[in-house]
Amino acid sequence: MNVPLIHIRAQAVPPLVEVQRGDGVSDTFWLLVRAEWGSDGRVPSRSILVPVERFLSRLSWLPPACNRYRVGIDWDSRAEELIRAARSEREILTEILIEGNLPRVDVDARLAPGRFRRPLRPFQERDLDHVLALPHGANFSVPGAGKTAVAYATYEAERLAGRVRRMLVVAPLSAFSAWMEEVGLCFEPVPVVSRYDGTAIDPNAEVLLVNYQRLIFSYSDVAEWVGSAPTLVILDEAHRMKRGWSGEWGTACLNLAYLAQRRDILTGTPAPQSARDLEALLDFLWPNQARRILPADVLLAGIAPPEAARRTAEVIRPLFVRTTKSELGLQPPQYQAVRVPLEGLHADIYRALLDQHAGHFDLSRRDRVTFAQMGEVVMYLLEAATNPALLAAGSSRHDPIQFQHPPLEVPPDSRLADLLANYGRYETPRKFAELARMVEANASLGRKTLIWSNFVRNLETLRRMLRRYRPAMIHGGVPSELTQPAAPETRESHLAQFRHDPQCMVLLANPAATGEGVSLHDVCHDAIYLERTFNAGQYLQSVDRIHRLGLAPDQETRITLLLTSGTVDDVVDRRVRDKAERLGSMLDDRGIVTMSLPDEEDYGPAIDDEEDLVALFAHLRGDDAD
Amino acid sequence: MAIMSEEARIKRIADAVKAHPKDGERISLPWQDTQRVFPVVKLELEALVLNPNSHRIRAQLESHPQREVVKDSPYGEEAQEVIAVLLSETEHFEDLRNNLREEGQRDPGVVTHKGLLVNANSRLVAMRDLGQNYIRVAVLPPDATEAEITALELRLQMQRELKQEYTFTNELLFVQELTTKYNRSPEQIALDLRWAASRAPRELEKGKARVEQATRLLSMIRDVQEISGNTIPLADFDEKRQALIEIDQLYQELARREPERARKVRDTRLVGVLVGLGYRELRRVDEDFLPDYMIPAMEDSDLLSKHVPVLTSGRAAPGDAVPGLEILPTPESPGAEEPDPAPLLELLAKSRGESSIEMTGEDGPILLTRESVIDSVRTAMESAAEEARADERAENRLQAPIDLVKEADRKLRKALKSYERMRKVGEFDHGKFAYIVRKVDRTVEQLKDEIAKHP
Repeated sequence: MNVPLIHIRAQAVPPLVEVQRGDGVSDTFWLLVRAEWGSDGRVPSRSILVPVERFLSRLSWLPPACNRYRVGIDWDSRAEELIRAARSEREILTEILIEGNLPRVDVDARLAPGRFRRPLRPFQERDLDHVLALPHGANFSVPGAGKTAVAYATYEAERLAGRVRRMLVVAPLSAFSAWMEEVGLCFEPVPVVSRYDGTAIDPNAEVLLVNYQRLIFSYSDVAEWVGSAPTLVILDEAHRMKRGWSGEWGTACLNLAYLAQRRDILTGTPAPQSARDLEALLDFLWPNQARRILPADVLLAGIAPPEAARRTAEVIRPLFVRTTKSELGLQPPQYQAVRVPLEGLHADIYRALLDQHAGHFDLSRRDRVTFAQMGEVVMYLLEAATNPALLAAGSSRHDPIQFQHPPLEVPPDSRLADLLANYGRYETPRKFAELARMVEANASLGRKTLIWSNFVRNLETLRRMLRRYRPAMIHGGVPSELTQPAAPETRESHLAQFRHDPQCMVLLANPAATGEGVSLHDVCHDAIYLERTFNAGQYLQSVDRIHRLGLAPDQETRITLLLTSGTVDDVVDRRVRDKAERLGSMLDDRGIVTMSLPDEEDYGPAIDDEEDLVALFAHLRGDDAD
Repeated sequence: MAIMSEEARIKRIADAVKAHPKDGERISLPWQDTQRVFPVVKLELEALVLNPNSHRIRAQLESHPQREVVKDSPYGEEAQEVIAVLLSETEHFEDLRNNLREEGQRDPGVVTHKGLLVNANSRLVAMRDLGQNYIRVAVLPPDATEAEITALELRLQMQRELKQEYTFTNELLFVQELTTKYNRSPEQIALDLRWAASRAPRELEKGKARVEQATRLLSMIRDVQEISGNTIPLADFDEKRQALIEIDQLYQELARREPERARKVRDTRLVGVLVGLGYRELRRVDEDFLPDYMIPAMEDSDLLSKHVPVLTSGRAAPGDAVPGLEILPTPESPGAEEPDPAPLLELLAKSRGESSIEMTGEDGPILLTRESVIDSVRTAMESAAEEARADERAENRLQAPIDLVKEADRKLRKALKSYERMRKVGEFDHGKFAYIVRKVDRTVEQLKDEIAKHP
């Protein structure tokens, strides 16, 4: 039978399909082709280029139109393979979701002949069993559950099965150190791990690390690497590509998906805002299938109904694993709040500050401007509660951006101005004195102390005050080795000092700069908070630096909170306790919960909800005094 | 109307250019990425021919009974007359003619060395109408290539495009031509047509989306024309712009998830367009409309009731399968088993221009007047739409008492604030205000009584 043809050819990088108009294909049919697949390409009247995603998601119009207009299709082998692969993935996914039973995997047998040496904990083994039974896995376990080790084990098992030959890890920079360290613990002999810096890809690399930003800039090089051998592609902190096709990171990841032999995603917070965030993540694992499997109302724009996350989890349950916080089997830390009184000049300053701000706010407003203004007021209150000397100094340029604020405006002849001028001369903040006493006590027992403050100026003051303990220090002004390898002092060098130098008894840290990648549970069991903000997520994450998997079962972890009575410290303490409880219950949820934890790109504001505002207003009015 | 032969035109124009004085009129035109100066000469109207590809009449020409003549010998008298008449029927022709009568010719036209107008087609026709004898035109050199002339034509058209409005379908054809004839990318077309105000990514994105929409709308129209056996002229769709845009939007929304349903909704709406259904009713047509409302309404129709199954069941693909489809996944799309409006759409489209329609009855084929079928389908769709709206209102009705009381409460609180401000003003009518407040109070008491009666 002789009919006009369209010719369909697939191109590997970036994944594109070229559709060519053969002789005799009518104008109207070609118009239909362009209406469905677009008019991109140099000569759209003869041939168009279609992103694979668009091509595969728009196929159903083709058979009826081809029959009606009597146009046939000539596929090249790559295009045919694309269609077949999409088809079989779709069938497999349907089977997993409908049948729900996954093949049993004998993980030990699969790993035995290989290089994987790290003993896994029971929950990690359970997660690995499940992930290996899936062609593409999702690990939504909480931070600290060892997702990296499980991912390495997945890779080794798939490599031994002949399915993949190498592995690409897309991860934020801050997670690189975990991948670098873990590989040595997991493998013997150790595979070559290479960090891609945009120049040339190490030809010996078996594991390639690339960050999301770099992936966009060097997409074609990375894509070529992935496409030229069977590759496992892992997205670490995968929620960062949640914007999918409407974001650059998402687009790069989703395009990469078509080139990967196996795909896995890792994140403890798969749905930071709403269940809808899962669409892009699922589309990475199962290209073009998310819209087919997610509940319809979850996909609608706007705010998904509150129980949507739960329903979504039910629908996609077979596709992911999640280890909860309590499954890690950690002994809860011991908390101790140490109160210092508000007295003398300090008390006068604090009350004068309250007076200065109390009248300034329309307490019924809850809008963004109010949040921003109150964010600044919180800075002043926190400073005044801990160290009034900061009020006149303003923020350090190394403070995280959410903490940047100008010096407090004090009318020159006001009482507050007098008080502030006298303060530095006569008083040392009570918390600092208390802190010095605690550090000394710890040091005499041979215990290293981790000290948290949100203000870089406080950290710098403490560094001078505690110099006989040789403090290490991490804040926004100390660069990471990854971004500035040549810097004389780096976060890595300070961390190494705290870990290995027996003289170094103190680490001074800023939560914004000391994120998920840092673990100190092997050297330090005492943390002291000089002050905290309303952001409970940051706080919980900072606690996890010394309280995490790998801690000896009988090891105590001691957390001390320094509070100045009658100040904003009390307000923060109440609110953080409430919120931490809520977050805690989410971390113990086996399903999918809409929650986000701070990371260095989205660190989060000092005040994060309306109830914080209400509590603050009450404090400003003096309504919260007991 | 006398037109010189091509040979005579070439000679007349060459002579005029040769005779062009050094200080004669010249004009600068865009030419290959720069500007170039061309001589402007005064020519008899007979020395020029109208351009059969003029955009303004493209859609009309396509369904013109003499279209073959225009295609075969575009510069013959008959063809030129057809083009002239179509140009004189375009929307702003009268204004143009009045303007030429009062002010004379302002800008020169542009012609090839053979006398083919690159622009100023409408002006030539108007000047002829007015009994004028001469037109000023810039003459392109004999060595100008097809591509150069095409590019200039595009630039000149772009300038005009921004001045004058095209009909909806001519605009779609223009976009199509920019793609196929000029090979312009969607982004370039967006810039050409000022659908993107700048090269800013957001603007380009917006403009590109509009170009793509135009492509989809034309494709939808062409598809219906194809179904009709090309009996429906393009111009039939000129008044349907908004309806078609909404059909496209709905189709795009649904197509990803439920392609089969998306097509059925689209076809049902297209049936509505063909029978002249109003906008409001068209908007009622969603995934449930055909099975839940329209088919029951058609079953109530004396004329249609017997034919409903035939008109709304999908058919198997005709003839041998074309090659290359076997590897495509068989659509397991939701809605495949649901009623399909395709046969109804085809019936209505194919019968355009005929007076009767043949339907299969119980005892063999019967003839119905097309008008009666169209009327019955429209009536059925109208009552279906009414039914659908009533159902929606019933859903809203449950919420109504709550919404009304909420609204009253909101207004009362506003009244309180405004009263606080106004009561001190001298001419405020306190008596009347107090009276109405007492009335409100009584109504509220009644409401409370009602609530108390049904605990």
